[in-house]
Amino acid sequence: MTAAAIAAKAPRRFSPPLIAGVAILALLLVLAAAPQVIAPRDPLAFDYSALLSPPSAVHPFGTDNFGRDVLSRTIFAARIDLEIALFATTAPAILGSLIGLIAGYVGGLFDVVVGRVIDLVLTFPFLVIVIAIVAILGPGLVNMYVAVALVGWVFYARLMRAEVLVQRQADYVAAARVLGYGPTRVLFRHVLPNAFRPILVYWVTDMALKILLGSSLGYLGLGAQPPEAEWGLLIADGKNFFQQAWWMTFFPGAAIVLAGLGFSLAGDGLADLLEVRR
Amino acid sequence: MAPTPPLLEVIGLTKHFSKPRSLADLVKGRQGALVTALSDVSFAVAKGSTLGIVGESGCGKSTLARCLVRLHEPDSGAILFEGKDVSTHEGATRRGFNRSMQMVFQDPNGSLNPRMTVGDCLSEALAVHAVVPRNAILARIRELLDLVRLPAEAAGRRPHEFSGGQRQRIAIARALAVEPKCVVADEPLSALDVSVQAQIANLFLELQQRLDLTLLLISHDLRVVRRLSHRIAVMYLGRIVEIGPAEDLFASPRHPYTQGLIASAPQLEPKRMSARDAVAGEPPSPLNPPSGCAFHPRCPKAVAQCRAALPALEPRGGRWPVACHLAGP
Amino acid sequence: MSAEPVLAVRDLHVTFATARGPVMAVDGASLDVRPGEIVGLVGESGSGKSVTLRAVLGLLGASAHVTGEAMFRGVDLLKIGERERVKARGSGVGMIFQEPMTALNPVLSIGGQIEETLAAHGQREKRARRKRAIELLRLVGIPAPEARLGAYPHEFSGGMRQRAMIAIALAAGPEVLLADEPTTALDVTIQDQILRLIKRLTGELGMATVLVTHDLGVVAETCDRVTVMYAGRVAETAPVGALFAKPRHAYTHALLRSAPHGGRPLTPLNSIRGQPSSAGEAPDACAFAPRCDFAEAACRRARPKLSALGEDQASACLAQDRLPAWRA
Repeated sequence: MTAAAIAAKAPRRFSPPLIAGVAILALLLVLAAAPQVIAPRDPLAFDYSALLSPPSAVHPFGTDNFGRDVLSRTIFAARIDLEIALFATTAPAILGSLIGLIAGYVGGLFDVVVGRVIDLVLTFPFLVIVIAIVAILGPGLVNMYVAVALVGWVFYARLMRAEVLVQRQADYVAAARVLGYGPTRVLFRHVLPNAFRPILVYWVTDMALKILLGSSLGYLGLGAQPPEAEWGLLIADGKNFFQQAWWMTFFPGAAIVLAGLGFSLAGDGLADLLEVRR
Repeated sequence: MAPTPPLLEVIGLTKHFSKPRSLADLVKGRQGALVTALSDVSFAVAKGSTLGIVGESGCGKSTLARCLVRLHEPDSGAILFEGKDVSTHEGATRRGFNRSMQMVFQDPNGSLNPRMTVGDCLSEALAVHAVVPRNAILARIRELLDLVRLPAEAAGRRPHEFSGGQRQRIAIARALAVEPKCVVADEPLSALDVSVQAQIANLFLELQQRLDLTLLLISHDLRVVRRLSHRIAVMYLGRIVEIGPAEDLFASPRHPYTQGLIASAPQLEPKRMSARDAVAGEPPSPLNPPSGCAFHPRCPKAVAQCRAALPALEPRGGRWPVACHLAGP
Repeated sequence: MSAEPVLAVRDLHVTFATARGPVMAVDGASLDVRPGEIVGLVGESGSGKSVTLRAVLGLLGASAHVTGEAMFRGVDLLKIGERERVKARGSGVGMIFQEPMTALNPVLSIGGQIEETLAAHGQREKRARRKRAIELLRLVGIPAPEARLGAYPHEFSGGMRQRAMIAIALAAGPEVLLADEPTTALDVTIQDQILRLIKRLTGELGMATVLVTHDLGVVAETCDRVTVMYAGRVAETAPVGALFAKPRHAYTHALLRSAPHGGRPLTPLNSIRGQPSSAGEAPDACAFAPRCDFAEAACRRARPKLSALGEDQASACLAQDRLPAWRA
């Protein structure tokens, strides 16, 4: 076997999932950043002459029941969905990490209580709780973010707590204590930087899940509200015309799949890069 | 002229760990089983000298090390540092005491924060304890690296870029940054390659001379301890069974366990191994210690008294302290 | 005593494919073991000693690229298919490891694991297996073997677990025993017991044993012959008496001089500068030259060849005749 053959057997740091995932996300980011430049048409422009027309050279993704260009609508919706990915994950990540950090390091009653709360939340299907909370608070993206923050933090807390429990046993933490460093310093300057890698990987993968969640709620009318363009809403718009105009639901759906795939692959690739066990 | 008091004196140190209660225990209302890791340990260390502490697993030497640097709280007994009892210090006073007594750990991979550069690591120690004014920190870092014979460029690198021996040097530099009077080294050479062990051993000798450092060297390797210590304490199941001058103890060990330990340490003499086991049997479980002298089930010289009564650690026969009924009154 | 070697490894090269490029672990190793003798394979990290052992049994995994030969009973273990290799493992070549807790299956009783090996190598009758299992436990010095058959690994102490692992390795009656640092994780008094056990079994059962260790003291007291490895290569091989009387490689010489055994207390040791090299770092020179007190220009120009010095003795060192006495 040649050296090349040996090299081919090796796992790589910049693995194919990472490259593919980052490429997809970069594409989506560009679409979200400058939709006006990229989209061929005004997403709000009605075109009564081309209602429900199938994909063509003029309208690559077809048009909807108001004659609006589906491609342009899909591109403009990218921004909202990427925002969902960011906002629906950031608050749970930070809140959950903090709680998990303290619970894992300090232990005691706080840890026991946190543990029971986590167990309790995990017994319910996540989607059902979120829908229930949004139903109480009223439909809308902001309320969805609140609902997700209220229950989504447990996943991060559980992960962080597990990592902290491992790092806490390490000699470098003992060394920091022997050096006379106070608990705050030990926690934030020593334990946290070594415990957050799995959180980071989970965060990226969670973005994929939250896009799905946001689209699901949008489809149900509980998430983004019209006239905002959001892929789930677009699918909902198209559901009544599914027989005649499959393209109204198909392309926004494909966009969701693509975005989910992009974040998932990026998460896997990040795990390889950071050498985190999955 | 009165003799100088020892820098460190440990009196009657005892430490228990309780095994977490299983569900069966909780249901039946049983107490958690108690593991005694240290039992009435007493010794003194003179300033500028090295005390080697040897023993096998379960003897309590690591627990002792951690109690001395206050990672564990002893259950009873006193730790006198420069005459003052530090075993009850809490919070900020305890952290102040940490400056005087530092620790070097066994595994150089695990004892350094993988995310911090060497420079950050050392400057943190210097800054938190205000060892030198802010503007002198960089200069002091260079001095510390020089002290452990590492190049100045090491400051910008992370632990994974160094070899095991170099990482151990970094750990020693970190311990020395706060200018301790006493350093507890818990198996500092065990995780290193044989050809590197000699380098670090020499470093300890050199630092002791230059800085008048008091050293507690904990190891399972008798051969190393003999070479580096002024005095040696031998531990078995949480107690010291013999403590005396290194060379004398090696030449004529008085406790049967010490004799067995020395006999079983492989030497560089081909085919030295004799026909019989150096020490028979297995170390006892700390959950179920034997009565009387803990070593009696394995001791070739045990008599009835050994099973009945715990021998006290006392200077017997006018020589160094030994905890064995057969060594004299 | 020149019986034919039971296991003969020749010119072994092992390279691993990793995310950071190919990493060489063994750079030309050769080894012979005869029945009834213990051959020590001694070296530090990067020496390739453990990898050598595992390569013989094909335990290295898909990312390893292995060349060379390992002749056992006329068959090259490195070239045969997986099925034959599985048959050779256990019944021909047995292996014991450093960490008994990870090498033993925690959910099977010790008796169960011994009987599993017996069954895998053809013993069909349950009663015969049980009888043999008890015999094996007694052979390795586990007291009250009938009672201990049903015990699980976590119920044994470290020394007992190691004995149990030896019993399992012996179950299929191997001709060769490969021992990868079997006592490194044990207390020194238990190490003493286990090494004696291995010595006794090698003699009684006529096995050919390879003992991998980093401790020269263990080699001196247990082995008949020894091969010293450095940076994936063989530095020196000799009968143990000859090696300790007069080492013929500068590395062995330096190791012996730097050992803390003997020597006056509180005096500095004779350290070796630098740290151990890994295989492949110096393809056209002696790997030890940067740390060597006896190195000359020739040592840095070409890789020294392993030259025979007599019966069972060879050295890959250009200074082999110039080395002074190592004992102080």
